[in-house]
Amino acid sequence: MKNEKTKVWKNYFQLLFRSKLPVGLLITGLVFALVESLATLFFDKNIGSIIPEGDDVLIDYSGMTVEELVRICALLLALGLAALLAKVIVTYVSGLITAKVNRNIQNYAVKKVFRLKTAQLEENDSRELITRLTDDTAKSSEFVVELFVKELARIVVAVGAIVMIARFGVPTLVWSQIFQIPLIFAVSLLAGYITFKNRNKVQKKLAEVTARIAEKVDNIETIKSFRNEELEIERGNALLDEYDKVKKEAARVNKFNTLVDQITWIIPLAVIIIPASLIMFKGGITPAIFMSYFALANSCNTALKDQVPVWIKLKEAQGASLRLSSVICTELENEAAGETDIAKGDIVFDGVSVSYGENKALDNVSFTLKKGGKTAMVGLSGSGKSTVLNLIEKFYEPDCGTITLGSRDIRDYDYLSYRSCFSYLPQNAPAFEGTVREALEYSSDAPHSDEELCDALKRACVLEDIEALGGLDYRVGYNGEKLSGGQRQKLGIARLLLSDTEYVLLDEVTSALDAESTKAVSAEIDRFTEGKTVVIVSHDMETVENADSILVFDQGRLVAQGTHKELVSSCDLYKTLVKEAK
Amino acid sequence: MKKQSLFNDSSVNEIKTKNSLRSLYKGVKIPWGGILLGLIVSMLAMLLLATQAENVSLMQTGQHKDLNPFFAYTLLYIIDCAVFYLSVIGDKALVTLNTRVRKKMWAKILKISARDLEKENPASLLSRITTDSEYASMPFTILTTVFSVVTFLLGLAGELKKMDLSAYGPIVGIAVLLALIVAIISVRMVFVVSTAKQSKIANLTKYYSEQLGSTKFIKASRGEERTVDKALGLIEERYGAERNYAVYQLVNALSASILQLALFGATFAAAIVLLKSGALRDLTGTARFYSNFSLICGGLMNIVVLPQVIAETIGGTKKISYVNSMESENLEEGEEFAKSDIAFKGVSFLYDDKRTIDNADMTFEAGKITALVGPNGSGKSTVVKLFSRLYKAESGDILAGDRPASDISLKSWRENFSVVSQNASLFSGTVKDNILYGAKTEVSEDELLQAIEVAGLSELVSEKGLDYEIGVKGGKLSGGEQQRVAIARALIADKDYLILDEATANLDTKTEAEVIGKLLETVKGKTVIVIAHTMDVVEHADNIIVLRDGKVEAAGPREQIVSGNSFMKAMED
Repeated sequence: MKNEKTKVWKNYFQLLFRSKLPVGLLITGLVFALVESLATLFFDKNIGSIIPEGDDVLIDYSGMTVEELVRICALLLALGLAALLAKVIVTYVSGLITAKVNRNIQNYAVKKVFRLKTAQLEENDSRELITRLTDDTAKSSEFVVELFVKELARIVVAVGAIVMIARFGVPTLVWSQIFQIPLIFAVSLLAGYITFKNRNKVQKKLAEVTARIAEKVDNIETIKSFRNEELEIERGNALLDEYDKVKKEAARVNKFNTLVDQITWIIPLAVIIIPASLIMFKGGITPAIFMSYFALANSCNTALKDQVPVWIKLKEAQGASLRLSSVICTELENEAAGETDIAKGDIVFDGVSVSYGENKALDNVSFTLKKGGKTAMVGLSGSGKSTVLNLIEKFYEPDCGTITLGSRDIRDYDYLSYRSCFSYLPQNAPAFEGTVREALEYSSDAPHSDEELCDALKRACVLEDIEALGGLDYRVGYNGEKLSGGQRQKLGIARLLLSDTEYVLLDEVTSALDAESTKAVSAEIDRFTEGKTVVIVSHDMETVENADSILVFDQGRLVAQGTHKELVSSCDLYKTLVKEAK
Repeated sequence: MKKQSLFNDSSVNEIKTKNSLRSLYKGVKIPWGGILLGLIVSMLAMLLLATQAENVSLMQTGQHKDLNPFFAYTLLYIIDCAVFYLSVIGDKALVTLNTRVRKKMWAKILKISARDLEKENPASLLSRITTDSEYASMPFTILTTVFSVVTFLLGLAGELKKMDLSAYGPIVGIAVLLALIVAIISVRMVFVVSTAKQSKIANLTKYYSEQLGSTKFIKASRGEERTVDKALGLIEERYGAERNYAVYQLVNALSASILQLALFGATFAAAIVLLKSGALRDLTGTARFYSNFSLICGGLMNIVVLPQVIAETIGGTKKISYVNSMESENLEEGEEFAKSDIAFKGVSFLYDDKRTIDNADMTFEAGKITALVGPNGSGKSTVVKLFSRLYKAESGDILAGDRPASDISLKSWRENFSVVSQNASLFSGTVKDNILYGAKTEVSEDELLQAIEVAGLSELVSEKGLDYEIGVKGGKLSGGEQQRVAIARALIADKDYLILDEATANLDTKTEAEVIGKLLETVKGKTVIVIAHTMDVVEHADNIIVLRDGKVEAAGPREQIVSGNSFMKAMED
């Protein structure tokens, strides 16, 4: 248990420090927070001075002259104003600190996340990952102000108040204030516990009824299509009556919680007033001292009271930072140095197996992709073809076996240098928010002229469409949603035609295109890949037939390889696949 | 598909506040009794609190001679807490008011056209009903607050009389005014800075969502650095917005502090002036005033936060009024539907700039089963939505027989069409309730059993029974079971036109084949459109329409299409 606790703390601080804390702002905030604390303490100490020491107001004026009274008022005024202004400044500086720390943590996290290994990225549900990057960073940073600025200020107030009370020279007062420390924590926790339990019960019920209301709202189309509007108005009303009941319970619970809060605070108040009053009645302290004591004790109690919610915030912040760290503190792709000189040659798979969870995606496959040759991969969906491409691109590592490029294990190669030798066009080629020009240049190392870009678009049979939409500067929208599926695919092909790599990987690149476009585009691709090393996954028999070598996959195993002529006579599965496609 | 909310702020803001409040409460019985009772109790509690002012200031300044003030204070404080608790009567009355407003809104929502509802996403509709309705009672809460504060100040009148208010009065007045002005400024600010902050976060989230959805593509294109750079830029924008938000927090803190600042000034600066002029020789009164001042501050703060509360209330009530003012569907207007072919003639549909259907010509023959095939994004779901008259064609016509579909009344149309989609759209209740959901007449035991059998539900029914509660949205059933219930429901509803829009997507291929097979046999004679991905399903169709990239690539009888079309060749078994 202790190990875990220290781990969580270590974790939290590591995250903060790696993200560079804004020291200047923190010091500023701390200074003003301390100003607030000290101003408050001295105000409290001096407030008693404005009332006379003795009993009889008219006679015993404690010998204070008007000048002295004026001086005290001026002092109190200055201290009071200082405390309030300092508070306002602290609020502003806190906001700035939180924003800056949040930014720094986000920057740190983002740089890590996009260099994680593919397997690690896929382990996390992307919605959760986004929450880590946007929410958990904010939660981790919110606490920084509490910890580094406000905590010290609170401690100063609590301790300072007790020190100043001690200066009055009455031990009872000191002890009763020290006693307040555990008392207030106990009272806070008790009140907190009661209110939390009550609120929890109500919130659960509320969530349940809300879920049923949400169900109706989600199903409105169905309600209309079955013409059940009248029925559902009735049912909805019954549901809203239930909601009404729960809301009333919530209102009652809220008022009750307030009651609990209010009453429990009588106890600390009694501890302030009763002992001190008894001493004052006996003449042990003057009313002036009583007034100062009261003020100091109140300030101390407020600081103690504010401490409890801080612990809750702390837990949240630690939770957030732990979740964040678990994602980003794992191995990155380019952490280890790799060979940057890529030897071009054959790609050889030797006894390669890889599993995704329990599913064996590839089972002991071996084959050679000859340099300069064209290889087609066929098989039913899920048979392992895409996995081969994923392994070639070093998205995953095989569980056993080796993959070599030019006789060197690809594991030795540096990721970036290695991938720059490949052009990879996946089936659902995405396009990111931006212009058509940006989408075309996405994989390029050097920019192309507009003529080159338009030429590529023409060869991909999409130039007319793009020009109709607005040309190279047309913005394709989030995930390319302003283009149809076919247009997006052709855009991907145009991008491919602009590349110049030795190795080309193509995965069903004409699936969304109509017959006419498929024919034209396939011809272009053939021309483009002349002399390059091509690996192609396709259902289009014309493409497959012309390959130098065909690999037939079935449930993760390589069941046959050869030319079209060879396979047609020797492999049953291949025969079936060909027949289906015809 | 991008959804643009109907409730963009400009149209909502066009509604005048006066009108929105009037329309908000129109037809809603306001529970005056409870509200007034709650108000009176609140005012009483405040009065009791105010009477304690004397004891409090006595004790704080050490002027008490015995502990009686403390005990009196404690006793009255506890009584006051109890009275305050009783004001829950008012709270409950306000809950009743909100419930009545909700019911009115719910009835309205069920009448709004499906098209307008589609534009509004379900999550925000839900919040109209649950959270926004809370604003209906806010005007009364605000009134209660104002009355309570005034009562409180009047209660303090006794104490206040003891001080020379001619000195303090103007300062307090100016202070309240200043605080209110700053509060109003801060209210203006909060809307702008909050929206800006939210939108920057939304941009960031959207960007991450896009990029994280294509990490392999990014890596293959060596685009990691570009992604990170763009993200850093968006993070910087968020930072800018959060810095501005900190300014708002400063202004907000200022409005709270001005009151206290000014009252400090009132106490001590005024004291200095009075001391120097000789009008004051003793500061006990000042001390008492100072100790009352936190009470007064507390009371006045409720007034200072009012601008914020009022602004939020206006915003919230406008949203409710907007829903109430939306156009209701006209179900009755139009002619009766008659069984006929449904033809699309040169139909095009645009969603944003994207042409999802491009000049399509196709006919769905009455009484026949038509399979609609094509790759993802080829426009099949748009066709379904055009069919259910959820969408309107951009150009071209949709004809039912020789009449435009729009001539036919929605009521009649819905009487004849049913859609089973991938999202089963079930309700909490029993299996039986859901299957019979669309039945308008008595359903015999035999008919029910037949529907169960055809939909492949026999196993589930024998295991768990017809009275099995399926949970919210049918959550206690698996995806496949939910779809089967939806199919059974459609069978019982027994409409002449049936659209199966990926209706068996959650079933494994073997079960899908079985269910589709039985289903299509049972509905022979009806006009069926089935979106198909596998040859098994296509086998049962009379006609096939092949869509690619929004265009009709091929259409005709099954035998003719299957042999000649390349997409069909590519379909997996």
